[in-house]
Amino acid sequence: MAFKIEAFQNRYLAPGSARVDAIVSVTADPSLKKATGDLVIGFIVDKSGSMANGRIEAVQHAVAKAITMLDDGTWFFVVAFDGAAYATIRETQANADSKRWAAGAIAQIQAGGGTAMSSGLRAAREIFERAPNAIHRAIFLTDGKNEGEKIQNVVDELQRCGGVFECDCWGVGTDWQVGEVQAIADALLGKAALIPSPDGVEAAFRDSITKASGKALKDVRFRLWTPQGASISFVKQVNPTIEELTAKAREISPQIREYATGSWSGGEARDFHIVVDVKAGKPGEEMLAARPSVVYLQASAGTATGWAEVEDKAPEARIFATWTGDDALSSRLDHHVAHYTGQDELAAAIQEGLELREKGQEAQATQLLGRAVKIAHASHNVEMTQRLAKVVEVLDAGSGTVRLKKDVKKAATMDLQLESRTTKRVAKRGPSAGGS
Amino acid sequence: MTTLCREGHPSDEPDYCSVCGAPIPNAHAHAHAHARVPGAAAAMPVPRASHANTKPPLSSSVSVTCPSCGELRDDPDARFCEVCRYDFLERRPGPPPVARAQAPAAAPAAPTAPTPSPSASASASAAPSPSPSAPAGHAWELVITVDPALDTDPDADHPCPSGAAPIVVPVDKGDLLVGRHDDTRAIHPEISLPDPGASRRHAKFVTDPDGAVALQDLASTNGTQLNGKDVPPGARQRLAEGDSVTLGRWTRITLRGRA
Repeated sequence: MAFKIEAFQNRYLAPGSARVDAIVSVTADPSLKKATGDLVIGFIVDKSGSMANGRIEAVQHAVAKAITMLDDGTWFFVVAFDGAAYATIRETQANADSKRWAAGAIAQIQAGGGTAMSSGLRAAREIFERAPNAIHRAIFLTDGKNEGEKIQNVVDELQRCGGVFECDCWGVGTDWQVGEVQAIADALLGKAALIPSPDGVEAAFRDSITKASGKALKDVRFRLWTPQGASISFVKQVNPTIEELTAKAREISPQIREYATGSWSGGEARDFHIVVDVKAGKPGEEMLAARPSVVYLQASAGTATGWAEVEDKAPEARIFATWTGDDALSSRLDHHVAHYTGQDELAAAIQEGLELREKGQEAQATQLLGRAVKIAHASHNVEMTQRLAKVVEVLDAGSGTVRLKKDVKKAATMDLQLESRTTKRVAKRGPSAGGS
Repeated sequence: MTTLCREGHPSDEPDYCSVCGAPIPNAHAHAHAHARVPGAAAAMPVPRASHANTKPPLSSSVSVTCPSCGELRDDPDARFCEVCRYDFLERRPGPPPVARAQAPAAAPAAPTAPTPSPSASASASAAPSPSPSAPAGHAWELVITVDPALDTDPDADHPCPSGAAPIVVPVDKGDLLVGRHDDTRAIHPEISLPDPGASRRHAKFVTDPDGAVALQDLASTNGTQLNGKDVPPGARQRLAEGDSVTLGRWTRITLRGRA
């Protein structure tokens, strides 16, 4: 078993109720072996004209530094793009020699030209496809709008890249579009984030490399079995970030669906919120409402691809429905479900609140961002409370009383929008929440 | 292997039907017993080879394990499972005690509530004849301390009461319940903890016939750790001198020999 899978729910339903809510927590074994020799890490960096004036130098330095951090044996490449793409370093295995000359090759990149993101993505995809059996992780960096091409080009290219590689995206400064970069990260199972100024690129890349280097398992899928006659209302990843998965389901059989989650490192943990509608039962009846499992590719010397498919199941992961006439039982809300329902509401309040603020609808924006402050405070989400405090003046966090700030830095708004989907894990439970 | 569920579907799964999700009656208890508490069998008191005539204190057959969680049923007359509150009489999964006590109808039933009566637990632990090789007269005690380092996610409403002197409790009963005291629910743990992260019925320390002390988590909300590792609910973990049990927000309980 590479995974620990555990479900949290209130299994009791009132007679006639048919909706089953549960949080499924999935944790990879911390002792999993890194995929090092089966891992390709690609850097896709913007070299457009706007990168001049210090930015390109910071990126060159950060990429060179990141390469020195790679475990020997890991494969890497560097693609620089403007209106077109250039393979600055083709796929190379990391060792003392290659790390040394890589810095020289990267120093040759010169800022200039437009921005056509699809060209960078395509060049990276073509390199990744040459090593079809490896784990593919990319780090994408831009500083501006995608101005050199039609949006459709990116949409089409992302379709081709999906399933080929995973990509974390970074935007430097504040002249780029959150929506454009977020779309790339969403399509490629990565995270989009802001680097306020060029001197932060090195630290950002260091984070991405640490994350990528630990990858151990490939093509990990969250699998859900549901009984005949049941339907999946939604499936969402709720930690570390909120990712809507319902529409991304792949049907394995009429009762089994899979949701792709990419490659995983040892010790990595994610939580999923699932809602299943079953056939309503009578008091005393019990049924299995869903059986979550995790399917993945594990390194295996005996197969042609070097990987073998494994499914991990656990009795603790089973999700039940038990009908009871006792309201005291059926009306309880599981605290994991309650926590993540709150975090989801927090994300929605921030996103809508920022949108309304942008449109000048200040009264509604104030109300929504106030609500966000209240939830963030109540769920001890300190990071989010701090981010919100850069956009609104918090008068009373407990009741969510806030005032919109007048001159807010653009970076603060972008950062809040990007991080709104990052959630806090469930804290240990105190007596106020009940307990047995 | 396929089995038939009560609706007549052939099921690939031994516990719940892989077609309709209905419980599979016979395989059910068995699958549970093995699946839910893998540690239970290993942690069960096993007679030493030198005492071949000593009967195992508890049989591993399905009839004495709880069909819902697989916990060994110490007292054949107890109505509820110690760990998951399964109702042996009505044969239905037990409600969590918190909700049960809130239901008005449950109030008159309080005297028959699942807390093991001292006599029941005493007879259960006395039943197997004590092993002659048990370290005779070896006595244990538990040292209960507040460890602020465990409170990793401090809550302003419930600050950690650091600086309290350790409490020493002798292990002088077969069963020592650990948890939060609650008068309304008639839960009076022998080791009562003022720790908001502890469940009311959190865990118990059980003295095995050979004199060794074992820890058993009673399916507590936040779990129990033995030397930093989570213990599976229900399973009995034998303890050694110096073992450290942590639970709740800040409670550390250390086992030591009594001078």
